Amino acid sequence: MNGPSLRILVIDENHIRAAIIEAGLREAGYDRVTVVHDVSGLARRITEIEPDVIVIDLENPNRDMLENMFQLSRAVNRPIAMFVDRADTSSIEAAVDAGVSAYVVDGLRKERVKPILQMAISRFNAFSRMAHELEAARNELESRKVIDRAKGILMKSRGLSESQAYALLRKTAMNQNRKLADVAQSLVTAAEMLDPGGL
Amino acid sequence: MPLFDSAVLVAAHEIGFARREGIDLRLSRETSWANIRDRIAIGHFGVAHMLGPMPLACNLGLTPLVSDTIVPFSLGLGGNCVTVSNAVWAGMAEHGALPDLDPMRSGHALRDLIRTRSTGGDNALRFAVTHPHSGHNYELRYWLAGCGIDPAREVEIVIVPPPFMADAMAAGRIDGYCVGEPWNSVSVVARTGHIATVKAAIWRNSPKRCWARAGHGRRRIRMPYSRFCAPCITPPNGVRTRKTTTISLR
Repeated sequence: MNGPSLRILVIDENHIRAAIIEAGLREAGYDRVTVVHDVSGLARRITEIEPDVIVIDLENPNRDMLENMFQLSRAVNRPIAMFVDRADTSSIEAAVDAGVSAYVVDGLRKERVKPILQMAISRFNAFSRMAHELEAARNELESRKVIDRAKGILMKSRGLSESQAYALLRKTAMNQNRKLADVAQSLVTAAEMLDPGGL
Repeated sequence: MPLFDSAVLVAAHEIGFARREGIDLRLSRETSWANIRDRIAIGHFGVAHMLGPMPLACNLGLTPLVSDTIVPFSLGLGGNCVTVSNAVWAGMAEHGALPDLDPMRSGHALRDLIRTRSTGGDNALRFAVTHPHSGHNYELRYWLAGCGIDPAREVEIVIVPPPFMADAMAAGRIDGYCVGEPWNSVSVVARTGHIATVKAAIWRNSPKRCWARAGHGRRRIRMPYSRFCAPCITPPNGVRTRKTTTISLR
């Protein structure tokens, strides 16, 4: 049906994301996958690997250099161009939105490239979601720590119980229309300034 | 893109000129011209900072995503330089180059250096520009050719992103480059390069970078472009703009 498996090169400076893409490609039956994190010396690698499809993260600052290299026959044997299916603008938009794209050698049929690009798009999106959730969890943990310190300061300086201290912070946040963590941070900063050695 | 001529947009946003004009300006920091080209083509950006020849390339269908792009405003005339490594400069000085930015004198010194190197069997000098569809590419080639150097044969021209130019030259990966500021001064300050000539001396008032707008009418934006620029060059905002831009480029 699709002929021999395509040689795929993944260029991504993010090691984890590259590993996720590679795993996805292998699960989908593409067994000739090479991953490159560092673009230095890439021209030589491309000549060695002779990829049919290159999956690249769009945020890579070396993209202008890579595109130019792809067009130079001196660096690569076959011209490589960005994969664009003019009949299907939505998938191009999805790719740019996700921050990934595919470059393919001249003459490769689009039906063979599309599943690879779609897989990369969905994995890129899943990765950003994960990164986003991790960031949110870190922030949450960070705010909880600050709130605990602020409660401690109130309990010590005003002789409040833990629940009273928390209620005071929450009330202040509501009155000032600010986030609880922000109010707690202000209190911690002020306390550090007033009594640098006491905390 | 982290370049000095993004100053007008950065200032319009940071100092509030845009807000005063009733425009909600949201800036996006990009790392490659290719990304800007793609994102303006699919409508992610209403307006973008672009290299002068890029909108032409978009309209001529030389880019993967063909888009109808118009240029309502030119951001700069001149402003680029050709910077060479200390080793190349030393060789050029032996052939009569002086630190006067004179394009003919520097170019002829470079030509003589290249001829001496090629009889000695040395590799061709490697110069970098920022993009194939860039003023840098064309003016570097124009200057070399005008001074008797065949840009296609006697030197190698590669692509390097602007913020990496100075490092690439310091590391010996390239021997010279043509780029906008501040990336020439970066090499001069680091004492890793010399400015051989400047764009204003090669081709006066030539277009450099522009604001480009997707012209497919998805979003019609009226931007008071010139009103953004005027406060950037008039004191006291002029000073403030330079400070803001310096901070934002980091």
